[in-house]
Amino acid sequence: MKITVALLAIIVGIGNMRPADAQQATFTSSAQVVFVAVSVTSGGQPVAGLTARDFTLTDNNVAQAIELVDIDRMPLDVSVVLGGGNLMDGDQVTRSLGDFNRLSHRLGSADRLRVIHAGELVFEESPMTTAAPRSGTRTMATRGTSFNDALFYALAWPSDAQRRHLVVAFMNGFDTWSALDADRLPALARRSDAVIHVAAFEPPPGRPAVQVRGWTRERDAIASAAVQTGGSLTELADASQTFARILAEFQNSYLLRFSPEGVARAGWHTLTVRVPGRRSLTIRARKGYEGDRRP
Amino acid sequence: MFAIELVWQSTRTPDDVVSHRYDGEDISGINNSTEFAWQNLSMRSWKSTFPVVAWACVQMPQSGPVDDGERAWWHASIAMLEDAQVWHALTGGERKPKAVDVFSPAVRELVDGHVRHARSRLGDVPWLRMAEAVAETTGPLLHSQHESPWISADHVLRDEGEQHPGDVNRAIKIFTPLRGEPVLAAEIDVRLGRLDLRRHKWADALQHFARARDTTRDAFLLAASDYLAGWAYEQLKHDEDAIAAYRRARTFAPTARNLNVRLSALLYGQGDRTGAYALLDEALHVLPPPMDLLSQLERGDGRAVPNLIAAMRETSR
Repeated sequence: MKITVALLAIIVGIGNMRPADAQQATFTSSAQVVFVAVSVTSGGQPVAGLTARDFTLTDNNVAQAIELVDIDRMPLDVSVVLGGGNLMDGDQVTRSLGDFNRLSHRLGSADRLRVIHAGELVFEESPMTTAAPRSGTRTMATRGTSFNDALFYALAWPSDAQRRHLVVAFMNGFDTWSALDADRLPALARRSDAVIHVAAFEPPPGRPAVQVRGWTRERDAIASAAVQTGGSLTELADASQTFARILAEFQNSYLLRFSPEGVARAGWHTLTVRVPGRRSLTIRARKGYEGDRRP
Repeated sequence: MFAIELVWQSTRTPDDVVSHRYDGEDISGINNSTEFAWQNLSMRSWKSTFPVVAWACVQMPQSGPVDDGERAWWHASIAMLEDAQVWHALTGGERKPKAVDVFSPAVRELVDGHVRHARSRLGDVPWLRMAEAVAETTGPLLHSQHESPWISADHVLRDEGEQHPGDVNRAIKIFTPLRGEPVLAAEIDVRLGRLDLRRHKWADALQHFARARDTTRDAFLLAASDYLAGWAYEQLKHDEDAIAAYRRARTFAPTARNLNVRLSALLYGQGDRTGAYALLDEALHVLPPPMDLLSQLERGDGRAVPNLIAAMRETSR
């Protein structure tokens, strides 16, 4: 079975941690703590009941001592990007999304939801709040789209260390309006604490070849950004079901914690997470994190 | 004279924009047409601007001394056509219809060109030479910029590659002689630098922007040169220089979207996530957004329409 890994790494200087976090932490190094969210599924269903001893984690090929964080008390921040665009008409997209308010019912009482509109303009259709988003115009068919800028806006959300951040972005066409090229997104995503999932409509048949090539290049860059964070890009058919699946996977993911030992502090740290002896599992993981600038 | 002001004002307050003020919470009125209006006000306005300017042009004196009021009117009317991007009305060149009775004010403008009408009254003043150069070059440059069928935003700096070098080289030939005019020198440098960006001549572009900064105190030109310089530095992977240039541009245009998105991305990439998000969030909450610096540059004196109308009003007192 194909193995994928989802993993969220949150780099937190211990001096910045809240007292509750500091009391929970039992690291040998007081310099840096890395939080890593890991999604483990089997046949598309989340796998429960794993312990810290079931995982191995390497940081730049150096095995690390890990702990499992109790995530039951860690509410979610969920950012949804509704990408305007030109592939599907508004009715198709609206039907696919269904009643967006229902999506918020899948969240816990302490979880927060934010909706970002990505048409010619990018704006918060609904700010990050525990309240259900207002019902209103949900059409994603716009003359142009600033999907890249909106995705950056979403992933840059400053979630605090007590919460986990999930970005679910619906992509409906070529980016026509962003200041950022899609090629910039993977590097930005590497620094984000969020796990990014993108659901994209495929171009309908008959589109000019030049558009399909452009679309493919953009989609590949955005897929790379998602994978950097431990997320993925999937083809979008039913937006509501897609959101529910992604949310359930994230809600049932694991959160590992470790203090890097035996590796240089500065630079890019490649992370590898495995569940040894369980090849049938699908694991999705962030690819790494950027260390301190200090050596 | 005031008909022209009223028309311009009406294009700046389309009803579907002003009826939905953003208060940070309720933006339910925002829809596609509103977004389109925000980004394309001048595209919407040319139908109302052009006939009024054409009509008023016929009413202007054909001979005799030119007073300050008339001078102000010519400048404001040309700026309005630039703002509305009605380049063909500024340059003229359409074939004159054979039937005399269809030679309406609008057709007269399209045949002769509004700049030519202005020149017949004002002579070869520098700002008219600039208006003519902008009108002759901007249309073809924008057209060739949009070769890719899905890139429709003309306010976004992109790597257009070296497409349509003929249009770029022609524009350089038109603009370069104007650099000898002291009052135009800084803007010409900004424009030549912008053209060098299209030719991937990053270092040459930076020289133009530096020269523009050294020769002007015009806040817009300073901001435009810094914004474009920031983009050039990004292409050279000189992120620190790009950040510095964008920050300078931001003092003039603190909520310009594209500028703030690019600056924010650079800061985020350097690990300043808090600062990056603050910039981005602030800029994206300004609705409607200000016109992009690049769009303003492309519109020539169109960026100065409010001041030119004020001057027109002042001279009529």
